[in-house]
Amino acid sequence: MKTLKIFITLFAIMAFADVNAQKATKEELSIKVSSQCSMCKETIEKALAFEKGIVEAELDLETDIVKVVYKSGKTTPEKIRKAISDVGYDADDVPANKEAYNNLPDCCKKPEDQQHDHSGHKH
Amino acid sequence: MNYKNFLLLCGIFIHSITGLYAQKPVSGKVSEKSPEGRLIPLPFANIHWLGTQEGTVANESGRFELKRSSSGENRLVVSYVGYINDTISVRQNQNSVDIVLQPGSELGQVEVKERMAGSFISTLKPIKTEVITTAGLQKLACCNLSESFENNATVDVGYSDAVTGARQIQMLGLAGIYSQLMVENIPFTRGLGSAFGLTYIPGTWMESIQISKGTSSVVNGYESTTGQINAELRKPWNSEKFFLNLYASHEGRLEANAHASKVLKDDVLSTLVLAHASTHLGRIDMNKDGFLDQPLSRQFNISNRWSYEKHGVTESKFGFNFLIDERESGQLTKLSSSDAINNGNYVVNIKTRRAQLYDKTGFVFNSIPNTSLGLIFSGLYHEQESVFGRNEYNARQLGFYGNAIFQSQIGNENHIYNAGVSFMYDDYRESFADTTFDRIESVPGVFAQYTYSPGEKLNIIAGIRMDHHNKFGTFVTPRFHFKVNLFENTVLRGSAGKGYRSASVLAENSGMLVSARQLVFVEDFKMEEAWNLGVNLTQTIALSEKRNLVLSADYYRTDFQNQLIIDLDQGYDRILIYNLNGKSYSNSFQINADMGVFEGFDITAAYRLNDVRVTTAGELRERPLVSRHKGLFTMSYATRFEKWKFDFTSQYNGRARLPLGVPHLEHAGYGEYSPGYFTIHSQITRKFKKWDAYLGVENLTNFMQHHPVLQPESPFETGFDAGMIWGPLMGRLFYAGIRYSIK
Repeated sequence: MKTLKIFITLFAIMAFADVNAQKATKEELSIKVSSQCSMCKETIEKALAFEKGIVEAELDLETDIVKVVYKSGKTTPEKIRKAISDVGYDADDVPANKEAYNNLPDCCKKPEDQQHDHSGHKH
Repeated sequence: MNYKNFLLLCGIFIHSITGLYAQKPVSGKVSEKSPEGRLIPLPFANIHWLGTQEGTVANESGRFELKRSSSGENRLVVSYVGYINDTISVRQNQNSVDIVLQPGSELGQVEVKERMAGSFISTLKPIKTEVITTAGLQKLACCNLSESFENNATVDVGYSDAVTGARQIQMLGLAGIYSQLMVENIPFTRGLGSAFGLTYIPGTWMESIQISKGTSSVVNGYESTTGQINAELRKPWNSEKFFLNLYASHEGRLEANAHASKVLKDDVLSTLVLAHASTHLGRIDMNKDGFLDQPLSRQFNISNRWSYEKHGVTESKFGFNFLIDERESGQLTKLSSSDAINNGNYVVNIKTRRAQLYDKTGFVFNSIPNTSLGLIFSGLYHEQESVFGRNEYNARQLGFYGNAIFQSQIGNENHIYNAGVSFMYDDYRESFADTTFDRIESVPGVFAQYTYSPGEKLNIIAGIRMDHHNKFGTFVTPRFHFKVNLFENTVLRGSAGKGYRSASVLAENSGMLVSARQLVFVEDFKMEEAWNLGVNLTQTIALSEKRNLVLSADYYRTDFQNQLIIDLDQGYDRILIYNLNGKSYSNSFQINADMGVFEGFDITAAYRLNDVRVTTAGELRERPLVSRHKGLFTMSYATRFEKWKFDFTSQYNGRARLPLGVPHLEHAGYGEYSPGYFTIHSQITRKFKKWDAYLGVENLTNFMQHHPVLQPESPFETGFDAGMIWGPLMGRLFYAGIRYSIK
């Protein structure tokens, strides 16, 4: 039973870490990103969902602007832009992390970089 | 099922964005999937509404926009030379579709997925197939293939005996030996692997499990009478660079799984190493009978997988597995194994070594569409040294499996045929106490299969194979499957066919070895032989844009012409083993409902009735230790991006007939039947950026079979029996663990 208590305590800490964070003040931020398709929307919103201090993030594909609600004590606009860059997208003036960008599915790349490789198939 | 399965994983991913106006045009993108899972746009694909002239051509980046059809037709046909046409339904409020086309190779293999549920029923495969996805596998973090079916109503998993920890599955109320267990479409647990094979595949190694009931395709052999289970492992080309899973239970099971993958050359060569180590240290004896509830065990298991591809020409997957598994059990609650033996205690000691090599190579012939050749080879070495009380059981199997499958079309893609040859060779050395069972089994075979699929609505597969067994002679295996879409969301499938197998009686019935019953081999075994017939109906009801209610009902009947009967009904002091003399059959009826209640919340409810009868001790009776009724209820809730996940599974297992003439069962308070019981499993998972943590409980209600070991106080005398198992042997179990990955 001792081990069980340790398990429960660990989980309680994990849950509490989330609740505790809500004391900081909430701020809003709009970031222009280099998104191309609905798949990019998923990638960016998901990446931000797992960033510390971010309450909400929604990307509008018409305008390519992601609206972020974050807690000022927990993160900064720089960190948020970096998080977007880290998954392969430009965020305002922060360019996309090169390696992450290269690993994006082709449809998420900028139109000039999209390849049409069909070698080996008959057309 | 054949070469097609090691072609790309393919599918249509429909990403829906809720639009404000229902009559907006439909826009989308057409792509193909590269071997490492990247989507590459297909330029200039044709798109039109089914049965109309209203269509368009995608642009050079695969994008298109198309007005809604004036006829109200909502099925969109996408075609592209060299790829299989796809027809997909676009809902009224859906404005965007992403379509992934599959290179022209195989029909009926397209799966439609939205949010990845834990399990789903593929509506497009001709053979009804339930798929347990990675998400589903993670719902039950512990530990290996034998635990992956807890939230599935089709497959039952139980303990084979109260000592060794061996697990066995059941499909259609019949032992797992009558279904075919494959890993990556290579037979896995034939022969000596039967007893512990399920524990040889760690949970984290698997990417998905496909389960189909009834006979399967002749391409995979003559076994699989009641069904087929295929576990797909993680792939070298799309796995995380590094993955680590650590698990601990409060009863002293520790487990570590580590994976590492590397793409050595993009789109060409990649490799993956899967490693597993686990141990069970806890000496648990909840029922105080002096026998450990779970064996003390150690397992070390490693697999190295390789993938080589020359795009559009050849593909090869090869690798090896190596495993060491050691377990000690019996009257070991206080003493070490050697002290216990010196003390005259009943001890079971099992050491297994197993190595397997495999290669699957496919060649695509571009001159004729849909034409390919697949070659599968696997070599196995399996060795077991063991002691059961005062009896030694030693066994060794050297096995070879080879299968060559050619596929092509007749005229057009509506008529596909497969033909090929296979060879199975197994050299067994087996001895128990003073009896040996050395034998060689050598089975060459030929097969042919024809698939007719004139459109989405109808699929027919007819196959036949002929094999020659060196001991049992020549036999023919016919099989037939059909699938018909009665209405847009109503699918009817049926199957009929024959299945055969040759038994490895000791390895498959470990319960017999932990018993003082005398084994009486009445006669030479014949080959087991059965017919299986089944029908099933699947109805999908769209509840909203993203939620479905899927109802399915099925009925399967298995009729044995010959079966190896392990007769437990002739007195508590013996087991008679002989060929079926009379009737043996199983009727299995199941209904299933899967429902997305709201975004992120899914429930499943299922009920199954098994009427399984066999002639033992001269009379047709219910098959012992098989429960007649089963109910299953699962709930799964996940917050957005699965940050938090809550899973709950409850099962009801009805009463099972107990073997006749066992006074100890009566003394233990049981009548003719065991009681029915409920079990509950639950797990919470929290996802972070690079790692997940989970906490769970198995058997929350703590229901256990009392007296799993009969006459534990004198294990060397008649009456001792640890093989009469109908219920859980482990009480409530808490566990926790983490998963860490670098993408």
